[in-house]
Amino acid sequence: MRDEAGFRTFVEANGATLLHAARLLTGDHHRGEDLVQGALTKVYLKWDRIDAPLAYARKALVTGHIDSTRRKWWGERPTEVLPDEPGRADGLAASDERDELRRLLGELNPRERAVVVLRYYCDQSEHETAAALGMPVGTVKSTCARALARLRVEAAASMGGPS
Amino acid sequence: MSPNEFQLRSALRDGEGEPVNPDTVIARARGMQQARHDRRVRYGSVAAAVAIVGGIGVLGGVVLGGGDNKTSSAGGGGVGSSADQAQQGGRAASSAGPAKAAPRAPIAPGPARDATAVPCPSSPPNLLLPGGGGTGQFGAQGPLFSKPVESVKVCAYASSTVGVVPSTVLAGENATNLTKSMDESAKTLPASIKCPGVPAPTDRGSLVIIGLDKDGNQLKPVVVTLGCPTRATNGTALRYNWSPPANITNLIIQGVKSAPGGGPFSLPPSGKVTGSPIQS
Repeated sequence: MRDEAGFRTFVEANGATLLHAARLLTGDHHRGEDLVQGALTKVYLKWDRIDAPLAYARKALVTGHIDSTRRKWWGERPTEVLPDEPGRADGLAASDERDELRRLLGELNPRERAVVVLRYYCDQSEHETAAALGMPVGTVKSTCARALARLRVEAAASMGGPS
Repeated sequence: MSPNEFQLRSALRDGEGEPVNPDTVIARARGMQQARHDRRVRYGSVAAAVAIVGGIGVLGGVVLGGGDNKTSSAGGGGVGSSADQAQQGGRAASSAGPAKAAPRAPIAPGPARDATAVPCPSSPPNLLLPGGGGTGQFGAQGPLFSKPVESVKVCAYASSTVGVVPSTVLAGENATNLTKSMDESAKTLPASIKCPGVPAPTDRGSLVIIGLDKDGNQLKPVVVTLGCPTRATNGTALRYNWSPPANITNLIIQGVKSAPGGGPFSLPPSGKVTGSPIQS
């Protein structure tokens, strides 16, 4: 019998963080919700067999996100009426700098975005990030450095000059 | 602007705090589990149906193949066993239509059948005699019945027999004595028999004797051509000048006489030429 009470406690404790990480990864409010739902569903289905549910959930989150970016078919469904596209600053009343960083984060490729989110939002070490993404630590370092460099350059360009 | 690590962390944390409803996740997971279960059941049902159909097919193939093997063994040379010799009658049968009826009479495996239920062929099978009727042919001296019989059906034919074929059934000791007397008949044409036009037979009528073994299985029919000389053959084994024991003769005569379509009937004494045995 699955320990539902334990799973509820886990979701209540970590659901918000995972949901926000999912939104950062996808850059979209609703797709972030779908992503975290999928990841937590995987956690629930294996709840009795996993020792570190949070690490498993993070890994499910980033792999699910990277997989979803590989499958292009989901983004090309023909519809008669175009869906409402949420505005970039939809629901956000933060500063321009923060909005700009979030926008620039969306312009990174999925792997770079996953590294940045895991390292600077989830506060994972390079080793933990490497384990979650299934890549060498050196690749995590180089990917992270490349992503931060792009963020600096893009941010400088968008704000009208070098820092 | 060039973001430092603090700014990056701050920007990333902005807007967090919205909780996730665990009930939604659990409901979704249960839905997925149910879908998986349904899919497994569906695939299992399909697999079971395929297995059942395949099993029936294999079983049918085995049953039909078993019947074919029995038939095909007749074409295998028929060397040695008496069963093979009996089966060779099928190969020896002529291509004439009615002549095929008896060799292809269904064999009923399983529980013992009543010989009365065995149908008489509409006309006697036209079995080619081994070696054209000559003596000393391979298998000609083998037994006429491949197994000991429990009962026999005797079907009587005259050249004028049309419609109902008169017949009688002998069982037990009478059947055994009948087949024994047939097997003990002359295996070569006795030199003492003087028939006009020998070796061409003078057909005075025919008997078809269908034996059933103790399991009720129908054996190869033996065709007795009454005349000069009287010949009995199952298509492989051949006997001349058969004459049944007196008590068996009476039983056959009385049985055939009282059967539907029957009439006055006689069996020739051994070695003598008589008129038609059946006077319909």
